[in-house]
Amino acid sequence: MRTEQKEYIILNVNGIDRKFTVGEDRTDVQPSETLAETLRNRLDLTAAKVSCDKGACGCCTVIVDGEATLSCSTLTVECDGKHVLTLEGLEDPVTGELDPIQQAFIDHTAFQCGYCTPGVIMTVKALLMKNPHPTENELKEALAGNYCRCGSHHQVIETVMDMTREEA
Amino acid sequence: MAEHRYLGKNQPRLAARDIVTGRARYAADEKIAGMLWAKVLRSPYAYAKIIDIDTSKAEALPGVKAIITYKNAPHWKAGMIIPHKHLLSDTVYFIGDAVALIAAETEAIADEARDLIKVEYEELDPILSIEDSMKEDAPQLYPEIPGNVADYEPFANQGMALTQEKVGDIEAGFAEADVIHEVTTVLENAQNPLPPESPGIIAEWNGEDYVTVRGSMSSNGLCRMMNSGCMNLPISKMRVIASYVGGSYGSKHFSSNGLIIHYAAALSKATGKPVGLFYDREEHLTCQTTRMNSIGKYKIGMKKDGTITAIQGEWTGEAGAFNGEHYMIIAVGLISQGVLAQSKNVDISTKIVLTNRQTSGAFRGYGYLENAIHISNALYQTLEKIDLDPVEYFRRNRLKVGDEFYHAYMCSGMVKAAGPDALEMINKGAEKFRWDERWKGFGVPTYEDENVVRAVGVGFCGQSDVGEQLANENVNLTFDGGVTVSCVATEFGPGTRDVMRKIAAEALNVDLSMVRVTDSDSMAAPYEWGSTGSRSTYAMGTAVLKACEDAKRQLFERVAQIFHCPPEALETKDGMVSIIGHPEATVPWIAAIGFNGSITGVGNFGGEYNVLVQQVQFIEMELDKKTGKVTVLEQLCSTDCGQIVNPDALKGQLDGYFPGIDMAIREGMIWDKDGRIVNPNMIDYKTRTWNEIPKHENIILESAADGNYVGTKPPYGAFGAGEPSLAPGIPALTLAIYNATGKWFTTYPITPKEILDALREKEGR
Ligand code: FES
Ligand code: FES
Repeated sequence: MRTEQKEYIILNVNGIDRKFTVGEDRTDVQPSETLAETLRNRLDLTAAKVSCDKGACGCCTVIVDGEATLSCSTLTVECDGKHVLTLEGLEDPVTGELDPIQQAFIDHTAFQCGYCTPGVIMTVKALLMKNPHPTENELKEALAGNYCRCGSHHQVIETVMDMTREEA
Repeated sequence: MAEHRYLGKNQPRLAARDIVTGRARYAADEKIAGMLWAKVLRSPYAYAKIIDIDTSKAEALPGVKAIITYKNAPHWKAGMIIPHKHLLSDTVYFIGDAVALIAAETEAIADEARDLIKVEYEELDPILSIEDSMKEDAPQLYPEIPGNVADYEPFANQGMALTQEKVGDIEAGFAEADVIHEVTTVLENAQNPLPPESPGIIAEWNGEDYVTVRGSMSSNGLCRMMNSGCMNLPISKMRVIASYVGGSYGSKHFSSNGLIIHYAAALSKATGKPVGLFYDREEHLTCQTTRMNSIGKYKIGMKKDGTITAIQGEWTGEAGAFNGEHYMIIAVGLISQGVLAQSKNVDISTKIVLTNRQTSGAFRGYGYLENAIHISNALYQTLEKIDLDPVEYFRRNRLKVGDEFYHAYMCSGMVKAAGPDALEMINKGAEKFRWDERWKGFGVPTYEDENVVRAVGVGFCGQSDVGEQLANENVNLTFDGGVTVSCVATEFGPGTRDVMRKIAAEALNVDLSMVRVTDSDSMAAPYEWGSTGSRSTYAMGTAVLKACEDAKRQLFERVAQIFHCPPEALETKDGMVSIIGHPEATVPWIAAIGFNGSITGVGNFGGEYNVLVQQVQFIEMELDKKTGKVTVLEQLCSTDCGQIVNPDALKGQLDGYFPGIDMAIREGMIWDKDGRIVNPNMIDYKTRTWNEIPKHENIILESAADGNYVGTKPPYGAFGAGEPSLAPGIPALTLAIYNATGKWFTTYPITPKEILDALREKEGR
């Protein structure tokens, strides 16, 4: 049997370093594999949803090195050495304490079917990391790429505006 | 007004924490050991015969577990009333129709195998419009459906005139009219419900012909009823376990197009393994269901005071490539006549035709949205002739409590309106929107300068199926003071599981945290349809309430023996039972139930069809005179839900109004001349984005709380309000666009180009 030295990448996902070999085997991350596939299929981090698979709905949004990123349109190999934050990573793994955005979404029922919600929360999170007190227009602009069919827009906007105001 | 412990107050949704943390598992998040992946090879032609199909290369691919074509497919058929759509056949009926089903160890292998199948087709001339379907020389798509027109005789024989309405003397009615006007409206958007989650199903067929289906199914019992027979199984041999559902809006009832379930089940039967089939977005947009296209010709005779002396209609719907529940869509849709245009003389005939396009099916507003557009367009143009403000018309012609209206679906006869009276929602809405001030008359904008023109519009709709169908729920009280509601309500957005939970907590007077609702698993709860047709709060809620009362009766009978008092002298709170007025005489439930014991209450409800859920919407929009772009500036929904259960969840239901206005001006599938949908993705299928959300307000009245509600009482007076949120938007915008441009549009979506043309024409006048 021949052992070969494989190329590998390391992604820091929700604070934990994850090492993957890169190649064409089933167990390897293929060069064409998207970050959404890696998160969902290899790490069982299924909060990010693949809805349009074309960069048009925001359901797959995660945060890569502080930027809201569409994981369906990002190659995993491009994330080598980067920090990936998913919705699962917002909850404190020890205390179960939630991010204030998550808590506010619960308190104000800022969702309906919840399928768009992981992407919406991560988009809001990325915005607030840079701009803790956005104007309503800045918020709407940030969320412009997040598709929501149920019509949770009004409640999300009210919730986030309330929350960021309270903190002000 | 009755004070409630939980109803009308906000508590976090049952699903809240799962949803915001990502724990909520939707169909594609489910993992089943040993699951195979399915793919479907689909037809590139709208209508064709398969001359030859070669699967040998695909079969030889390592990891491929089964390939099914018409040659080895089980003899299953879908379609109603006479099943006619074979699971797979040597004929394909629309672009995207299934040609072969593949199951493989991985998704990638299934994909590769699909590409290796060679098919030779003989193209046939397709039918690509409603008109073409009815032509004499049109191809006959199915021998079971001669003339491509669905036959509903079997229902007529059961005394159900589902697709027709004839009351009074239509000729005499027109003879009494001061004005008579006829309008034909063509709805060919085929609007997609477009839930963010595409359908996904995992089927597991076991050896004794019993199938378990997991995934995105929003109406548990309805799904079983409509799909088990298609697979030659009795309902009892199909188990449905619903995941979290990422939006349905009707499309995941699988009430007529459940092919995804049949495909996965056939592959599971063939392989003996669980099989997952998850549609991608393009499949979802081209192969699942759209809103039913239809042509409606309505003629209205009206007196000068707005009384409708006669209304005559011909309404033709497009089933698409096979015929399913469309007769129900039409039957429910007929209600729009009673709600919008009540009259003593009515003659409406309807038809459903087949074409070689994607099938249509259930979508929020189920028939009454479509018919409300057809009727409103005729109505508004007639009102213009007598110059009557449409809001004033709605005030005068609304269904008052006790008024009779025709209910085709289920009743096929006249039903007496139980309420609520819509007057207050119309008045409160008009007042808040300042309608009287902003309405300047037909064809008159509210504002105009060289760049923009603004105008207002109003729309109205309603239905009376909120109490539809039999409901069965059980409630189990455990000795520790806990309550389990056995109910197949699904977690799909509106918070219906929370409604059941809160009704039980209210009825049994226990802490909300002590009440749980079973998963939506047909093995965990009594058979019943589930959440469809807006029936959850009223029909399911009534059965839950009755089950709680039954359990409480049993509990009190036992405690009465302890205290030697009549059961009526008892009350319960937080798992304790006391003699009313004697707190010292208190025992915990366990005293009556016994250690390790439980009490099961059973609740049934037989269905009611006289309570109306209605909504009026007001809109102000602005037209850009240079581009023809419509911007909705302000939108207001006004409704009455009897009694609010979950305030925030209900608000969300009304906030979801915009696919209605967007059906008027934006959304639709676009076909090329071969019948191919050219915009099956979310870049080309245009929807509203966050920065285009208008100023919006809801008025939600509670007639039950105010005590002016008459008729069969829904649980605590609550019957929901969410479903009608789309329907009024289209007539409202049509009217506003008329007021701005002087052109009555009768086809949709109304495009900027058409608006510019209309503005030019107006300026030229
Ligand atoms: S799934 Fe990534 S943007 Fe839609
Ligand atoms: S909450 Fe259902 S799509 Fe946004």
